[in-house]
Amino acid sequence: MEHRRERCIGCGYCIQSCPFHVPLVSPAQHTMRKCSFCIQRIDHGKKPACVAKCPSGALTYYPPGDATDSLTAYGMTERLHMVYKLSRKPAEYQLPDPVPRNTMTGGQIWKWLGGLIPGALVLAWLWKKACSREDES
Amino acid sequence: MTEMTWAMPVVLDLFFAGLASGAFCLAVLACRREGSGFAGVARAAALLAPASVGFGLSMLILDLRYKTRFWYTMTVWNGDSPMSLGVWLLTLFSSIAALYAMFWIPADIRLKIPVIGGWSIWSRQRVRDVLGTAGVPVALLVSIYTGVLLSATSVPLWRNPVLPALFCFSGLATGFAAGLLSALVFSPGMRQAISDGPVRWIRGAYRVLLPAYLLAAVAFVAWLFVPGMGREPLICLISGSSGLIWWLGAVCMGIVFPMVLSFARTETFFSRPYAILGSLLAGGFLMRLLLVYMGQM
Repeated sequence: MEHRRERCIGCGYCIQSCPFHVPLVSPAQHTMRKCSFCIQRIDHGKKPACVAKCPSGALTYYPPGDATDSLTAYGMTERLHMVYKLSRKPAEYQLPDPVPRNTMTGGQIWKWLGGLIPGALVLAWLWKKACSREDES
Repeated sequence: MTEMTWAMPVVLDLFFAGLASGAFCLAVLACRREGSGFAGVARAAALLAPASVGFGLSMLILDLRYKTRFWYTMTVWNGDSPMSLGVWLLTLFSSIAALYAMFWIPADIRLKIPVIGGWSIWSRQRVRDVLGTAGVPVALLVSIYTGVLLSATSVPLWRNPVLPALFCFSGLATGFAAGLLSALVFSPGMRQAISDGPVRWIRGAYRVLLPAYLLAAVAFVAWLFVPGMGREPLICLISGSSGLIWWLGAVCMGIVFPMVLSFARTETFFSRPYAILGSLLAGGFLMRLLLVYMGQM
């Protein structure tokens, strides 16, 4: 992922949309700030900078396709951009459980229809009522 | 837990965009009825719609951290983003509402508008009616967009499929109230004609619209009881001081009170229109205020 800061309008919609609460507003830049997962380092076969510099071994980088170990792979089957390897339940890491699936487009159509169908029915009734020549009692 | 990213400007945008769509629909519907009272309501509602959506849009821009970059959103079409779809819908609706209002501006004032004010097209009722009819579906989509915008996020309280219908009915109900109130306030000479026709007609309209609005509000809360939705959104909405605002302010004041009076056999709806319509508007505003803030707590 690439963040073009000069294109960011600072609306905050990305913050409200991310189920993992990853994007934040930069207090200095007033734009969204998000980890790019060091894509430029990974492309050159290196680990992300945070993993490379971690002094306690808390962060481990598993390249794509790496065999799963004893840890639970969170987000593997849902094809998340970043897969988490967890030793405890997702809730203990404040991660949503179950993993949110990438069904935004399909889900949104139902949300639009969920407003459109009842709204159009009521408006159609009002339209018919407005065209009626009968006086209200 | 998310930080408080959206505040009062977003509440105002959601409220006034919904109100504008309701006012526009009222103008087009009132236009189909005969009588000076209906013409007065149609004129007031038609003039209110672009002013209201313009105010809502300005609040949306005010909320941006880079306000001068707002036009970037008009260089992108992203069908997956309700924010992007909403920008295009609001642009289309505000253009239609502004053009429709031009037909309703009194001729002596309209002629003072440079260049376009003298065009003869503004006197053609057929063009006005076609534009109004074409604008109704767009207005409906704008009122739904305000709900989809919140509903498509990851915020537990907002991620509710009933929210688009709830905001749609709220937008229509508050728009009708604001349009009628504007006509009563700004056309003092027509008060009797407005009370005889449009107030009676809107009372009949509320007998369908407000039960649908109440049903949506109940379904919205019921959805929070669905297993797997989490207890947090339910608790933060229906308990404590926020619960008081929701039940007394948004539901009782904004829906139940005007609905009961619209069904009552007494003449209270006609003798106290300001109190009833004001209550409906205040309730609609409180609903958006509470949902926007509580979702981010």
